[in-house]
Amino acid sequence: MNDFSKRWESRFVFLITSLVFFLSARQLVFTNSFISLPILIRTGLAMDLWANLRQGRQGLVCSFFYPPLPTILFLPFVALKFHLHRFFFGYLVTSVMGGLTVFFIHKSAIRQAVPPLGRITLWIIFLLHPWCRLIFSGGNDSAFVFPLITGTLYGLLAWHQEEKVRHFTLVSLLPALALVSHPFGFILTASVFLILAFSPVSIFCLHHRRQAILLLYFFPAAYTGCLWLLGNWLIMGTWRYFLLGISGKNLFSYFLTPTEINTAYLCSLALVLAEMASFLLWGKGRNQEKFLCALAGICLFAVAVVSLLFFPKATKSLGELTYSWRQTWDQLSVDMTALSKSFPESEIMVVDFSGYLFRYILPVANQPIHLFDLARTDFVPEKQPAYLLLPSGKLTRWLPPDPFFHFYPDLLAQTPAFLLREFVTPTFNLFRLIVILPEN
Amino acid sequence: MRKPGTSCAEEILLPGLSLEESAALRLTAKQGGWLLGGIAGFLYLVSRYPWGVLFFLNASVTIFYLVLTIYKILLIWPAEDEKISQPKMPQPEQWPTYTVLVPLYQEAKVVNQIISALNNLDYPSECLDIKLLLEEDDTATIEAVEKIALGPPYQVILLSPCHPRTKPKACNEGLKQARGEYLVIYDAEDKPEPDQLKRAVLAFAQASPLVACFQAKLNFYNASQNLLTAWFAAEYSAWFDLYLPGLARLDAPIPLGGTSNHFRVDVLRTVGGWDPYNVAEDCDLGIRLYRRGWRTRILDSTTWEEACGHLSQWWKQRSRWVKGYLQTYLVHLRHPITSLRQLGWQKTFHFHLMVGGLLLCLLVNPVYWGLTIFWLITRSQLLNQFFPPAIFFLSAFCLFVGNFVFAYTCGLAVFRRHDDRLVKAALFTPPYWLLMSLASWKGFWQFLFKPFHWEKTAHGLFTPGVQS
Repeated sequence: MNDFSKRWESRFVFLITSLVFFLSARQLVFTNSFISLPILIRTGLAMDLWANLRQGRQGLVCSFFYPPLPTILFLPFVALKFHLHRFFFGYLVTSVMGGLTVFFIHKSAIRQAVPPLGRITLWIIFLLHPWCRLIFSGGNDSAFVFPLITGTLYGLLAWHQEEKVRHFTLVSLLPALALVSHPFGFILTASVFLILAFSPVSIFCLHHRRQAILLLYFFPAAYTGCLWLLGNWLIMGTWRYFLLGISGKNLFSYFLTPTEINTAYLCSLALVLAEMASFLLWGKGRNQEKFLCALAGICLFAVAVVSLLFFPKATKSLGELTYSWRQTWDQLSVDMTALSKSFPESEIMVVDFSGYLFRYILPVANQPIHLFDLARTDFVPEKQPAYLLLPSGKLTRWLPPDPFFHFYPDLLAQTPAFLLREFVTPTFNLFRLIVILPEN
Repeated sequence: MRKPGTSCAEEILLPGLSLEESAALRLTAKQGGWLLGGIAGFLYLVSRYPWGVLFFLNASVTIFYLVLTIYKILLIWPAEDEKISQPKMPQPEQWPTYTVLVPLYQEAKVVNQIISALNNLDYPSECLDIKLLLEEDDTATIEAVEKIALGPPYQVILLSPCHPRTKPKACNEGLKQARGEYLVIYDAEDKPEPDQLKRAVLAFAQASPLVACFQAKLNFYNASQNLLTAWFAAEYSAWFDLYLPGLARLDAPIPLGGTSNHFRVDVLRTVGGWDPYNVAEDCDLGIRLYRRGWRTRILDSTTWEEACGHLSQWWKQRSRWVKGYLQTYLVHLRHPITSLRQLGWQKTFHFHLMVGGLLLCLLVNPVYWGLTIFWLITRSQLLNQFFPPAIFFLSAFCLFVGNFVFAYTCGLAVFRRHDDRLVKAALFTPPYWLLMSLASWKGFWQFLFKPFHWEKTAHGLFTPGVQS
């Protein structure tokens, strides 16, 4: 097959895959009312970021806690305010990312001269795999990082074969982007460094060449990392704000402990790597060397182990998580409606510590709602809180740590008489509402 | 010495180049009218809607930065697909006559070096027509050349010292007397790869008949002399190894580099040679060739030059280039509609970005760097009016991504050239941009008050083995 048809085949694969993911995401959301937590958080953070830009404020609470690139990607969509389903752009972004993931895997397969039938078979298996559908249909933040991983591996393969600088740009830029997109970015950056430093890719190069390779590789990662720190410093006032949530813990345990979400990450990564490794082993690409096969073999072995250990558990717990999340959402909607009916003349003030998770529910109340961010508005609670959601639950690790926690005790110490209801679910713990009763 | 004047200028220009196409006129009457009208309109709008106008300017510059950043990223991609001429066809029995022009003015120090480099050229001497272009009043260089006692194929041409005293004017004299089918120009300190002429001949034979010029790659033999030369080399690598091949691949107009341009002599005469009043005559000629329907491609051969290792020399050279780019930009905007028709929409876009965009970027950069530093220090709310959210977002993107892209591209360029020792310097080029911007303002100032003044770059200042 000539270069021209290969190029068009790759584009076709990318477009079809994106479409498949988009339609499955839409289907999943509309039929099951499943809400993607990562999309929700990212959309909320992007909304907050946009609100701050629009109102000229400088404090962007929490926006830079998570690796911020996905939030920034959501920003234009939030700012444009299309009258579409509120998570439409979330689906769109993750679908494109899904398409890109398959695109890079497919390009690697072409480069490795995998026969067309083999490519199509593995491609179908990948698309139909339930985990894959779950990742890219909006259920997982990993959708952002997988094209970066597969793109890096493709770049490594292509650069090793042809030594074109543009392939090296993939090797060096994509891990840097992954670093500010997802905790897996750390692993990717470190893994590629090991490959560049100690594998035949560069080990036979002259000393200065190896130095140049490593320097050019690290430069983008260092730059994006520094930008993240700078963002935290400018916005939060502390450059290591993003470390608050994991201070005192082992960095790796933060995202490698077998919770539902992290197991989901691990399993989906295993799936992507399995696909990539299969092509490496199957194909007979140019300049193929033993180390590539060895690398692919190791990947497949690791994937097999991960699958055996985690797949069943992860599938089960992710189902529970989804159920719990949906239950919380429904319950809160009901409560909000009830509250607005109970106090029809009142204003509802919301002090939001949640990472903006529930902003979408607020319109269910009929009366004016004022959103406050305690940290930025110098809000003094003259009125007593009427409705309080107290922290608890498993998903606290998802939420950005609030650097203004010292404001909390005053509110929490209010007399119980004003505490109309305490609402605690297994998963959420997120914000408090204050109802200001009319003077009479 | 004659002073510049319209009638005098018309005498100096070669046939094929009209006065309007020359930088002898800074602005035509029509351009002047538009400029005055624009300034008056701008001042009126500023007096009526000061914030609105400033906002509009800021938004325009931000969008320009965004486009330029994306454009430069996209240029890298096709650069590696460009089939840079690496001729493999059998060598002809009879090589065509090749004219080599070497303008020498106050170059006594490097005369031996250039003669040695020309003697090393792997080309039959009977087919060479080497012309050393000297100024009559430059006695030191004349004496240095006389000491060597050159015979054929060398020919010394003495030029009368009349205004404008520029390299292109000297080259035009050489062109008038050129005997070759092809012609190349080398600077005094150049060291071309020995087989460059043969490569060029074979490349012309293989190329489309529309290709009238091959630009060889330029780089520096003293790149590791000091930080300035390292930065300069990184910039050259990015320009000649990434951007120009990218432009060639996209069939866009190519602003030529000042030396190692290989021409078909008949075409060069048709288009009127070099503009003696333009101090970036190479850039102007590249664009003019394209407008007249000719194409330029990149030759896979390097000419090694001496980078200015002294800030004062570098400063002079850079400000002259910027002045020349400004002259070129205005020359090709004499009749914008005609230019548009000749170039087409896409190529006009390339022209504006590579010539006008480069200028604007260099001139405006210090303003935005200043604003950023001001905000970081003061956190002043005053700037919020200039940067409403959307503009702020785009500006932040340009600041963080754009600056990174330019530094990273320089790193990639030297990496691609296997100049691995320069990668470190290339990645830390921002101070170099500051120097470029300052030099650009000087160039802009000179354009207003000394438009035809050629600030001579001294050569022969580098002693091999001595690093500072």
